[in-house]
Amino acid sequence: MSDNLIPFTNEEIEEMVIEAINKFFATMLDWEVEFVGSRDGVNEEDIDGPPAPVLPSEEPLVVGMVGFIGTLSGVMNIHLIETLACLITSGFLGMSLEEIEEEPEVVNDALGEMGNMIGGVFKNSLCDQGYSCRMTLPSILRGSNFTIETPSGVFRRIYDFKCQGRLFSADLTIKPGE
Amino acid sequence: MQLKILTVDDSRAVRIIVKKAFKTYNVELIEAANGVEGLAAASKETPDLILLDVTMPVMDGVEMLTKLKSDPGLKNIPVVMLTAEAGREMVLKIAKLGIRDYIVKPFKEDVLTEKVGRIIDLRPISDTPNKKKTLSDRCDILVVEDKPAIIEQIKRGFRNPTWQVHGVASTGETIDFCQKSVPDLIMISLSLPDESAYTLFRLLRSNMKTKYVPVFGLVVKTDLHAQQQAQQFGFTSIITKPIDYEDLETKIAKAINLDTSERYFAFEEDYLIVHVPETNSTAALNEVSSYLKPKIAEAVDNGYTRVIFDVHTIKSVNMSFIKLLVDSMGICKELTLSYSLVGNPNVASECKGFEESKDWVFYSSIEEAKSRSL
Repeated sequence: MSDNLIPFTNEEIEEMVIEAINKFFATMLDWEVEFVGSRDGVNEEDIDGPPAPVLPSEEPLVVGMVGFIGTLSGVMNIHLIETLACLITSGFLGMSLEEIEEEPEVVNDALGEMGNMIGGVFKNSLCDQGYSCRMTLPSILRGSNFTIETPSGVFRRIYDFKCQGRLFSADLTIKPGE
Repeated sequence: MQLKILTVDDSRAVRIIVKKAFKTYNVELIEAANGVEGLAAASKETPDLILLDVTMPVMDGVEMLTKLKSDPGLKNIPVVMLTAEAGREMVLKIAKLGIRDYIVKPFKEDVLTEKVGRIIDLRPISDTPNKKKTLSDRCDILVVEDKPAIIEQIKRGFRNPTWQVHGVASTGETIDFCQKSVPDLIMISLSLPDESAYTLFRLLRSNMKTKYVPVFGLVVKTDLHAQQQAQQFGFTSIITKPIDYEDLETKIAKAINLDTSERYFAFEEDYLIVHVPETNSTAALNEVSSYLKPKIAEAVDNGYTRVIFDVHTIKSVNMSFIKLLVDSMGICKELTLSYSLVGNPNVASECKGFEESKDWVFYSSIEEAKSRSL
């Protein structure tokens, strides 16, 4: 459905997202990540109702969000369950889970930077192909059972991955820039 | 002198990672969360290097860099960009402002220290004098030798149980080993095939982790050409086979700046006991001599008033030995410490043959020396 909205095919975008995710996990954590699959960001069946959560879970979620603005603009959101967010923080910053428990705000710092790095690799791929854009400051969203909606006419796709036996998702929104 | 690195990044996570990357190096990390704080910290601290992010609130990295380069007092501080921004236009814009390197996030900690190490003289903490190892600390010695029998022989040769000898057979295995943990010293057989000992030496010296690790060359005594070549390459020392382990231990201790004083000096009851080594070689006596003044001063400082020089294991007397004792006695007199000598009949007899030592009196044991000095 989104093929004509941006100058890339679904396959090309998918490849760029997988590269960004793999590069972050391999470089900063030395972890292997398995790509599970991708899906449209808008559930056609629920088009008239609220969209389903990106990552359905009983556990609280943490989302690292970073935007890019330029020839193409958009947002990359990384959705994680809290347990995986803590594991990533531990590996990323070299802190024990006990230390993270004592200082929970460090998870926000780590996830913000993770979003920045993953979004950065993706944005740099766009730049290398002639679509120059700049990054925005990262932010964090926390909560349970929430949905993120987008206005119509934008490309949105969700890419599911698995690491440390847990699922996580990269939720990408793009539209042509100003 | 401790080097200062200023890391300017709005992400606390990146500042934590940078701190982690440099924790084994003798550097002070100064942190700033944006360009304004970064400029203030640079003016106050005059760091040796600045790691700078691009996208930051308040003042971004490009603006900070522009201001830094227009300040005569700060413009010469080398700047390394550490940023997720790698778009060609941005990189070119920043490069024109004058930077020393550009690291794109995500980054490996090794890459960061490697690149910084090319600009400033990064030194591991263990190289600094205040972290001197002693004989009771673990010391890892990596032997690069394709003959397993030699590695086994070296393992058995050392007296000190805390010295761990690890054996590898090739350049690749050495690099893999050093990636996991950096040894205190590396011994490379100069007879490895295809002159790979020299290639390996160059690799070790070009790597930040192993740049300052002492490297000994191991070669047959008669191969003078290899010994000369290794010296020209800059090997820390050359060890010849068959190996004289006492000489090797002394050289290793010197190369890794090891405090071996516990081998010769002991504080017992009210006494400082000085054990002169059995083989009174010049190297061994020089080692004892280097500790004399500080150890005797330590004894005085801690309230000890008596010193016993234990030379009973010495087999024969030479001038270096006489000189060591004359110097030691001189220091004791200067500090008004009483001293006695413990020796065997042979040492006592040989000492009578030298003008400086003809009147020395030796007790037969430490216990006798203690009881007589009461």
